[in-house]
Amino acid sequence: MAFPGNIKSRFLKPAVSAFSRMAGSGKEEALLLSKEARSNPVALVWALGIAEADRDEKLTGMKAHLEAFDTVVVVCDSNAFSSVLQMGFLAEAVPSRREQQIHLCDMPWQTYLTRRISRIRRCWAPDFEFTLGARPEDFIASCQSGKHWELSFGAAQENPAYLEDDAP
Amino acid sequence: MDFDIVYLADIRFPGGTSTALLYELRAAARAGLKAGLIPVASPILARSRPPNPKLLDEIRDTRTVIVPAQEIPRSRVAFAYHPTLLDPTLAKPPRFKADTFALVAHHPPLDRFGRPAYDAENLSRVAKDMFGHELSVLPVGPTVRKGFDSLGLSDLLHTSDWNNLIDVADFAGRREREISGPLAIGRHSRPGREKWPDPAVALQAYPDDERYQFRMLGVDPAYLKEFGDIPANWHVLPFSSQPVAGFLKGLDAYSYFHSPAWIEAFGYGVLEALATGLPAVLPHYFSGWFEEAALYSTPAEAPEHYDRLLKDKAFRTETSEKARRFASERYGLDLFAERFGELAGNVRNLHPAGPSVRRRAPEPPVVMAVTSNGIGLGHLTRQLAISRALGPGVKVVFFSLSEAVIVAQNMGYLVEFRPFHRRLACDVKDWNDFFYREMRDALAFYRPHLVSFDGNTPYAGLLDAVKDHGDAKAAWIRRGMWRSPDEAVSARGGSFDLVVEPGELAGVTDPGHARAGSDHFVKTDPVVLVDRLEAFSRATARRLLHLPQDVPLGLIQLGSERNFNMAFARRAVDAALSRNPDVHFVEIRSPISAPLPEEPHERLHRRTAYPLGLHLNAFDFAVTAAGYNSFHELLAASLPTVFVPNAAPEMDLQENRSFYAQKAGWSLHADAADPFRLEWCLEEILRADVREELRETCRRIPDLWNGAGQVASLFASIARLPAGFSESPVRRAV
Repeated sequence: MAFPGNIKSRFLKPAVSAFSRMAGSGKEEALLLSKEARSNPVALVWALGIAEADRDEKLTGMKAHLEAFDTVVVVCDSNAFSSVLQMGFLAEAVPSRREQQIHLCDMPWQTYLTRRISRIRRCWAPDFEFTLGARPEDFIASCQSGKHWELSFGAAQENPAYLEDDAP
Repeated sequence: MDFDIVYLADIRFPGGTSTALLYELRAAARAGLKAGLIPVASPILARSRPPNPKLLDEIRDTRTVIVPAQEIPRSRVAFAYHPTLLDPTLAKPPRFKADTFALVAHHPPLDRFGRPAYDAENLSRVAKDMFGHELSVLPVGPTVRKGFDSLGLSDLLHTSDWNNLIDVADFAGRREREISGPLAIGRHSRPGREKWPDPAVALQAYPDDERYQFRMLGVDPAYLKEFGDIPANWHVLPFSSQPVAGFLKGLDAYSYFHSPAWIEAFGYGVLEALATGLPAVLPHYFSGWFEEAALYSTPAEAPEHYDRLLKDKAFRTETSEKARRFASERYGLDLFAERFGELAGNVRNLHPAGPSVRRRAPEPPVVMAVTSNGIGLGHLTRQLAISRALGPGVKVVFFSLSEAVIVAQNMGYLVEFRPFHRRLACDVKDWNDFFYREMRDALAFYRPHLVSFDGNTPYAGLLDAVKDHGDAKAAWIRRGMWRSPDEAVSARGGSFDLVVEPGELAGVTDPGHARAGSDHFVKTDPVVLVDRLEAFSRATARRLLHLPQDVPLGLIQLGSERNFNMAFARRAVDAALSRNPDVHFVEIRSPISAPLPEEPHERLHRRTAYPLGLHLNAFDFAVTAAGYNSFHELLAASLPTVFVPNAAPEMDLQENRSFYAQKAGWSLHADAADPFRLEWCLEEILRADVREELRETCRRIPDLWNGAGQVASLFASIARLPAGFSESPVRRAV
């Protein structure tokens, strides 16, 4: 979602806080929020499929509105996110489509990123989401579906007994 | 991949099993046979026990191929090289196709009291179900053969024993001497309690008698506590405290008795003594395979043999020659080719084609490089060095908490970033839950062969995820120089298959806190990211950094200064700028630092450069903190440096590195809180003669910069990676 450009940011903070309170907590699973942050408004900004310069420009433009939130997390598909941190936001990152194609291109990225994005939402429990580039669902749809492999799990065991001939 | 022989072996055994394998690999190579090796972890060894370094050397020297995990090798014969490797709990049984599959039984199936030592009755079934082959058992001697017979498993046994072999050339024959003092009698073994007789019997076999001196290698201090007084003629030495061949060469005779609960399957230590030409006194049952090459007795009767050996030089000489000749003729490496031919020709396999195996996708094996850090680059840099050494046959995926992880992407690696709890200020337990879920999904997705963690504290979320996944091997790159001990953290090494301590040039000043409570680790040479030969020339480096070509240039790298005050160091630089109008300084900033509008001084430039090692030739000297990577990279580049250690409580012991380097004459050391010393050091480093002297001393440091290659070799050996297994040997495993 996006706020209208002409909305006054000084009215925004109490409104967002009120909305956050009305929406109820629902943030028990927000593992990445501190206890204090769970009771305050959280925004998730999807910056997927957008150039870093455009992302930073848009974030700068939104800064006044984003200040209404105690926690702002920008999810990038780029690992060049230091500018995001320098703006005072938190950052998450997922591999870009280009990186997926360069590395391990026949992997089931769609499934992996669907799960990853779902966990991002769960871990931050945002009150509001903003989209700067592609919507997360569209970003996922544009990724490689790959092939699905069976997974195998198991745990090794140890036995302290010692059975060996000598000689160092 | 086709081989004559494929060994399924645990390359971590510290004693006889690895010695036997070592000599078989040598014998196979001499016989012109092509050998492959599939490392399999025996459940009886601690997980973090590192590979046996002598065996690694032999693998390298004989060009034995460690079969990459994605390969299914074919061979004439495959050996399982210890009964416990046929383990039904193996998460991932190795796949291979062999005409003959045989177990080399290095241990009897029952102990002296008839208790099972392993599940001999199910060996055949496990071989068939999990390894897809019928099994033939090759006992290493009569003791093991009898054990199988007594269990009614004779039909599994091959007709001949598969005796251990030895290269007699490894043991210089002893020279007979005139004995004027006591007879030097020795024994050696690993320090297991079962290798030692009970105290009363020990005092019979090794009596307190001034005519004999007993030299014992491999004594556990706990064993000595069972004695009231240790006899004055016992000289006891810890396990592996000196090379075996040298220890044996100093003896006149050998005597080996052990606990009544123990049965020796073969006795490699004894064979080594015989190969040295030592008259050996042994329990009677050894005569089954050492025959006339040794002297046999009960422990109480052993001194009678010692007496004769002491008094009768001709007897001593005759026994010695017989022993060495026997070792060579009966157990020499030359016997291997014929024995192998007999086995490969005689044992029939009911399923010669081997199991039906579904091939994995032909993608390169993945290593997940997990690094900690918020803004620093230390852990990331070491992982990058190792990743480069692993080579293009391995896909390295960085799974990092470092906000500077873009540097790994810029070097061509796939990168995944996850935020660290320190920036988020969230609950640490919650963060570990988060990290567990993230790791778990990433492990399932990337299916790495190895997870390599570089960080001070392996997180609970990481350990749990790796444990639950089960498939991947795990390694911890644990930099030393901890400021204080933290056993709870260092003991987490037990959750890894390999703990590596990257080498420290100033290692002798490391108090060793990282090792507290940690049983096993391997030391390597220092790990550096950039080889000196790769570095740009002076002119190129200056041009790439947009720096003047013809002025003296000093490098400054004092870290983020968030946790430590470097104000005096900065003032010393300012003073040096004022006093020396021709000198320029270049401050190298983090690749993720915010851009600054202008440079603070016309001769103080700010740049980012990663990896910095490529650009070091641009500089005439440096003023830097003494973090692991900077310290070693600058000394490797022989760049005259003033080290100003960051001594913040959460940092490693940078001051130990810095101070030691000054004492060695490699660099200058200045305390960040001492403005006078800092100014003096700056004045010194600006003198051409001082710089030349420091440079010259650095050049004399031995060429010890291949730590990354050594770690990559270790990774290749434990995780069956196709990385070149040809790097120089690692330092001694502990």
